[in-house]
Amino acid sequence: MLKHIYKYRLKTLLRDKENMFWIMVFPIILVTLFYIVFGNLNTDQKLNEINIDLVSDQMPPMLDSGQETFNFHLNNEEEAIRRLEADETNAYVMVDDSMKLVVKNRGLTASVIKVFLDRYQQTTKTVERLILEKPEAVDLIVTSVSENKTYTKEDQLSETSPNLAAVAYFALVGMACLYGGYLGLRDAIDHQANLSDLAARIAVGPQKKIQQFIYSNLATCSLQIVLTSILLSYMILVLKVDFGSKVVLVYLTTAIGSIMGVFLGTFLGSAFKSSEGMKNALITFISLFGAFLAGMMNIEMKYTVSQNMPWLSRINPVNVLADSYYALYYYTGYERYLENIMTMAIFIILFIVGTYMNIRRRSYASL
Amino acid sequence: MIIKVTDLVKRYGKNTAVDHLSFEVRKGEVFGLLGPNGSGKTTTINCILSLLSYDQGTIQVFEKDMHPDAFDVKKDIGVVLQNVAVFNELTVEENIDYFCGLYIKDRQKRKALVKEAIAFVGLEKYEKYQPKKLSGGLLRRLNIACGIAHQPKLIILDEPTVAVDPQSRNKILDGILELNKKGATVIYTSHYMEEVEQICSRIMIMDHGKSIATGTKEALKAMIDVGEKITVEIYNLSETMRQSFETLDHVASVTYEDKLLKLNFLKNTNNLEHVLSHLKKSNIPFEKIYSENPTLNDVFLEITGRALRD
Repeated sequence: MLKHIYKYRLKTLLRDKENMFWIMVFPIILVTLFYIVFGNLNTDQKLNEINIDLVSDQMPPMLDSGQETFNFHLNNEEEAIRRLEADETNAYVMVDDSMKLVVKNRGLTASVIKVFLDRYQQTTKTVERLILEKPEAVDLIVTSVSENKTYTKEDQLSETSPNLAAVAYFALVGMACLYGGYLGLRDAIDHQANLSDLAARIAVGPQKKIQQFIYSNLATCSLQIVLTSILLSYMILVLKVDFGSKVVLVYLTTAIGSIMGVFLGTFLGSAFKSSEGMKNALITFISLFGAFLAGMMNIEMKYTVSQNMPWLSRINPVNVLADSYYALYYYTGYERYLENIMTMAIFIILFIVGTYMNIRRRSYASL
Repeated sequence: MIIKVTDLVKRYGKNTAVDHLSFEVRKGEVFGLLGPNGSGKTTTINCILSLLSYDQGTIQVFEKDMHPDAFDVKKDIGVVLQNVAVFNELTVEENIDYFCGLYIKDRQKRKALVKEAIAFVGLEKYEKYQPKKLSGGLLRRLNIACGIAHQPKLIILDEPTVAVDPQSRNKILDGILELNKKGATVIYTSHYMEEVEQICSRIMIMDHGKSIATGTKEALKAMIDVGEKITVEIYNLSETMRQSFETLDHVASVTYEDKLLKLNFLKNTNNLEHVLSHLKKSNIPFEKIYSENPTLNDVFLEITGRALRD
């Protein structure tokens, strides 16, 4: 019986073109568009090198090495002015006691150069003073300044480099997992005699309703896991979206998220009597709005919600799922990941218990 | 006894849909539930099938108490519900196989039964079609095939011919009689009195959730005073001549309107012969003459004061 119901449930769902579009095709189209939009986002975040003309005959001390951000060019004042006018350099500096800085426009680059110059002047003056006071320590002083030592210890939270687009990708997969609610909704409607003629017809058969429902759920969950895994594989293998190094756990998380999505649908499907369209709209709202709050459309949104309404982040199933990917991607530890998995497990249990309470009725007061 | 319903009461809030209903269905009969829309036929069927809970009464099927978990009883029941209930994504063959598979586990046996059911409802050409490509009549046939493929001992058909073309309707009615000949007991609900008269061996007429009469169609018609109706097309008939028909035996009423003479008789024995004889004797020329026996609508009208289709 399990094989019989499982086989036909799969056939039914796979041939449901509308659901297949929203669950399978739509997320793939969306993630491809995301890929096009986000493709160059991270490279754009890198600071361009800053060109500075130094009006001097020789390179001032401590500027000639270890500077990745700045390109220094020695020039006379006339040439430096010409290059600044022609946008061939970002600024020029009169190398004398005043260290006068000339820029064409105000802005981030000008501020960075100003901060750098201030620090340079402070350091050189300190060094000059120390050399005057302790000439025997000149080698030690020069070495320690050029070493640029850090006195704070960096604790490695992540093995992965920050990726702003990841938040949106994770939310999108979370949304796709929750779209399994459409399939779960069909399961509930097809097995509750007061919701559809088909369910009434199935209910007069010689099987326990709950048994038939569970067999259908098995088919639905496995299909949804396969569909979201295809989406994930497309993202990882074709679009080369970086989900971090814990790929097996990423797939496992997707499977758990898919099950959560399916049972969200069975719960909403069985919880109250309303049209299928209304319930579909509710699933769309929960998935799409949840994804929005989890940062799918605006990356800052995830942080804004976490800061101002942390409770909303914890009850938003898309965010919990997206945050699981986030935890796997950024953190070497599993504390945050397991916390999210536990939350999803609680959601799944609540949805299953709620569904069972609603669907266990064996006969109805009205059809 | 295949079904025994005793003192069944089903209420929807303040409305009583089934009101202290009792009846029995005997083995091998085609039992008709006839009544206008809203008379409680479908509610009664849904209570028998344990789809609906009820407020009072007992229901026994195959001499066992019927309840939602009476799976040993349900396995011998075939159900064709009022609305078509099939999977739109599965083909005709797959739909029948799905529902048959809920009753028959053996795959080979099921395959043969599915083929038989497809042939029975005449859907051989549409085996690979999905329901959305079928006409209303063909859909109804598919609905029936899904209900009877496992060859149950009891078949319950709830208005299976609603919105069906005449060709499909005849096919369905012939099929029901054939199933009955093969040994199945049938419960057939309809508000089409002609269908019920055509196929049912015993009929229960329902109104407002109550049984108002039960019996064979002959027994039901015998319960009322209305007999044969004879209509004669006469171009010109004087009042005196009209009154002369009132002297015939068993005449209940005589009217003449729009060139039609209508005679209602209390009993239907040799009335046509008497009328023809009177026409000839009185030398009254006529175009057409036809006779109608009383229908179940007359029975319903006599008992309730309303027509079945009111």
